[in-house]
Amino acid sequence: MKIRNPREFVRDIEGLPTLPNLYTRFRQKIYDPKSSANDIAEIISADQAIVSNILKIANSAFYGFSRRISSVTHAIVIIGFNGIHHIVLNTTVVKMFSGQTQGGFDLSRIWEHSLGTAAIAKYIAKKKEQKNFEEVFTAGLLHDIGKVIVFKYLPDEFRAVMERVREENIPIKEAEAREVGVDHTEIGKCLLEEWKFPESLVRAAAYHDNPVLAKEKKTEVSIVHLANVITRAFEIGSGGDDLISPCNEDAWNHLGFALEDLDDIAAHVDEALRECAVFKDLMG
Amino acid sequence: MKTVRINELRPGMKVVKEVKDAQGMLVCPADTPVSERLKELCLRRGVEEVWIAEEQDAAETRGTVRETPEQIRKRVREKFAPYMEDPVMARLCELAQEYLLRREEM
Repeated sequence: MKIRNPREFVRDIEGLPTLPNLYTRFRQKIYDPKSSANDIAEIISADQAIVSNILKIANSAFYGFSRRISSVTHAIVIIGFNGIHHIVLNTTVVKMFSGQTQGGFDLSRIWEHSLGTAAIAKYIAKKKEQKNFEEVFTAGLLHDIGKVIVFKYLPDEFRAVMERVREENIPIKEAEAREVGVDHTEIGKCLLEEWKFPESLVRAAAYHDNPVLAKEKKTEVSIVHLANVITRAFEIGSGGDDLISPCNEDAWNHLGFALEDLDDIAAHVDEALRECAVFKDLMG
Repeated sequence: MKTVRINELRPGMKVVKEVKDAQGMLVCPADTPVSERLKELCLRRGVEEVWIAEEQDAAETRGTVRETPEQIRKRVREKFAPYMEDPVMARLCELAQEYLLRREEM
């Protein structure tokens, strides 16, 4: 099957999980300036699995707080609305990465690559003193969500993509364009737009391979781009092909880094991965 | 190359030829590292034997098969070769070699 209109495709996918009502109500409340921590906590408390995940993450090395956080209200006060928003979002979509094998490729390798990109992106965001580091983390986690969609909902095409990648040694994006008609960045963009996810996540999914095209949220997109380049170079999981992705000069200049900064990021990769290990538990 | 039975596969070995089941469907491509998951998959799909390199079997008796540091350096340098004129990528190539060598030692 060749996709002509990726937006229609994501709208019509049979069996694609919809976002839980809780997330929709939560999102409305979080953007309401009159909302209090108690209002938000009340919505979240309706789902004990999300409560448990929030407390797990809030008390993990991801934040590294010295004192134990024992309630959702406490977590909201300490972490803030935006941070909690992204924890809820991550815990909601993370299950999409669970799956089997298609065409000799295990979905857990894309999960490992995505989590690696997210962890490194979080480190870079903190290094750049970005306050929205949780948002950048989520953008990293979801940057390849389009590949997950092809893997799960177009299994025959995914197998053909992987065969082409192996036989012709080409980037997965190129193989997708030939076998599916569009690549994972377009599918990911349309899916996250359909779900009305924050703009930075949509743009990171759309432009992580070509950050020059991101006219807005350029810092977030550039961070995810660099994190993706490093994750591929360090062979953390797999993006589908084993090729190196070159660092875009425009993104590098936008971040204002010197080569010493690259040394620093590389030196902190394992620590960044350890800090985000809690997300592996969420996969179950 | 030689064939070995699935229950003789050990982590550290690598399957050197693609594996297909009785229906001709791909189970795993060539150069897939052996893992418990791969063994389970082969057993589930009714695959009884796979191809590995002769020297892997010999090495298995000593422990696990690993890339030598020089093989890692060579592989990484080859992957980065088209981008080495870019100083960022040239530095990343060095850092990737260091990282992968460190990970291999662990």
